[in-house]
Amino acid sequence: MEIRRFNKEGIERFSQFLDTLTTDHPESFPELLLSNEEFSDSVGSNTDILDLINLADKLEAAKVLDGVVNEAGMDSAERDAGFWTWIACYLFRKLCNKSSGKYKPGQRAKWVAEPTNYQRYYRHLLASNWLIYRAHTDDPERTRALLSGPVNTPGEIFEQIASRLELVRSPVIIGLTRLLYWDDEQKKKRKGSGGKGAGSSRRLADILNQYERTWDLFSMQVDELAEMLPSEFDKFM
Amino acid sequence: MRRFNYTGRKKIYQKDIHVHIKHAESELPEFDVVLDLEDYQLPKESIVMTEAYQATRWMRFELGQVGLITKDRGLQLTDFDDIENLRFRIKVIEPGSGKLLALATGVHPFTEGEDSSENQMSILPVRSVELSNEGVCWKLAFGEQDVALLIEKGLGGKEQVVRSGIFKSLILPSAMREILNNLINAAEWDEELSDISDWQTRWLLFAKHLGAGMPNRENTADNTEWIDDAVRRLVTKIGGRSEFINSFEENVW
Repeated sequence: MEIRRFNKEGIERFSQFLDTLTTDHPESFPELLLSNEEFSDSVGSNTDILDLINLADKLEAAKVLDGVVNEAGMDSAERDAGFWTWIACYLFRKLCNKSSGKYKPGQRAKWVAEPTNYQRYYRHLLASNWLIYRAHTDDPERTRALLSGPVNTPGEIFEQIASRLELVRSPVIIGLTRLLYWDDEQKKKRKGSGGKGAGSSRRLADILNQYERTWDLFSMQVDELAEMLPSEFDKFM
Repeated sequence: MRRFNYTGRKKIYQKDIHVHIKHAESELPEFDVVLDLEDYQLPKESIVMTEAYQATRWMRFELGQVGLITKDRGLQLTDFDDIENLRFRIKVIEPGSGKLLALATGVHPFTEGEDSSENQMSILPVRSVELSNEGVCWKLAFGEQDVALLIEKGLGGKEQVVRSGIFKSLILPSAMREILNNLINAAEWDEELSDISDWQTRWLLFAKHLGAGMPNRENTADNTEWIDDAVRRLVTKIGGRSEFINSFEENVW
């Protein structure tokens, strides 16, 4: 099958399907919507690559999505709501959680991309991971604390940092999250990085918010910023 | 919201900043910056940066030093393909430490042919956008520094929409009510009206200017009346209610 981009009607149809999933009369997955020319246009690549995507690892998935974007020669993929919504629809059955045999899609913004909505753009399960990867192609491993684990489980670090455009684009901030929260030996996030407790990513986001009033965080080095952090973060360094 | 600045950081005033945008069709937008930082007594070697931002887009440029601005012309906004609601920050930074010495946020640029003095901050910017994701024809977008009224693109040009009876008689009063409700329900609003860069302060000033006075922090029941009064005053001021009613022929529904 060709990879496609939903038009306005395609997005609306997919959205209607999602809405039914939280009612007593959920519709079955709209398979035909994916290839129907009335609701989408081709972007010029094949879905074989999507069939092999590793959805258990955000960074690996983001690399594959970057390959799709490059192969299709898309200049403004970050604004292409139709493309990202189609990709989400294509991968829906692999990504959507189920309970008692019923799909539990959660927030609509996880599936329907809203690239111009600064409060929701980062919630899209696929576009958000790709956006972070794209901002750090010089050193993708820097993103490890954010882009680890399954695509359909954003996690607390992701939630706290990805919602702030300036933070997520900053090599210093993303480097800091890796320094604090990624265990290189265990290849997983450190215990305590989630939640609300001392040294958590939620606390980090609050502290960075305060620091931004006094410092230009982009002018600093990761180590300098790490040294400024209060002692509650010492356990991670 | 009232914010206290204990950092010694200076505020750069809009009058000392001129951001001029050029956006020829089919070309990337670019901008020039003219800064007058002489009165701020900033160290000459301090670094001057500007950041352009708009919803989900953001770019950063180093302009030079306070004593020698070298890159302030023809700066290309390669990550932006339109300039709608584009804003700028100006940062003056202590070299080495990264400390912010002076800052301006929410700077409004002006475009070719537009006088910067005409480019006053609108209390309710109206934006024509695609709202099919929202399932509505209009909605408010609450940002850090402003509240904007989003109107479905399919309804036509925003200039036409804002002149319509439906807009003046139905949309605008509802929007104002929602904004004032949001304002009085917020944890903090500044009774001293000290910082007009806050949208809450600008709306409080606007309501005051309409003659509605100030809301009551102690007695929230009074504030329902305060909102009713402010909305009524707005509708009376902009007029058009009678014409709107008369524009409906008998049995039109």
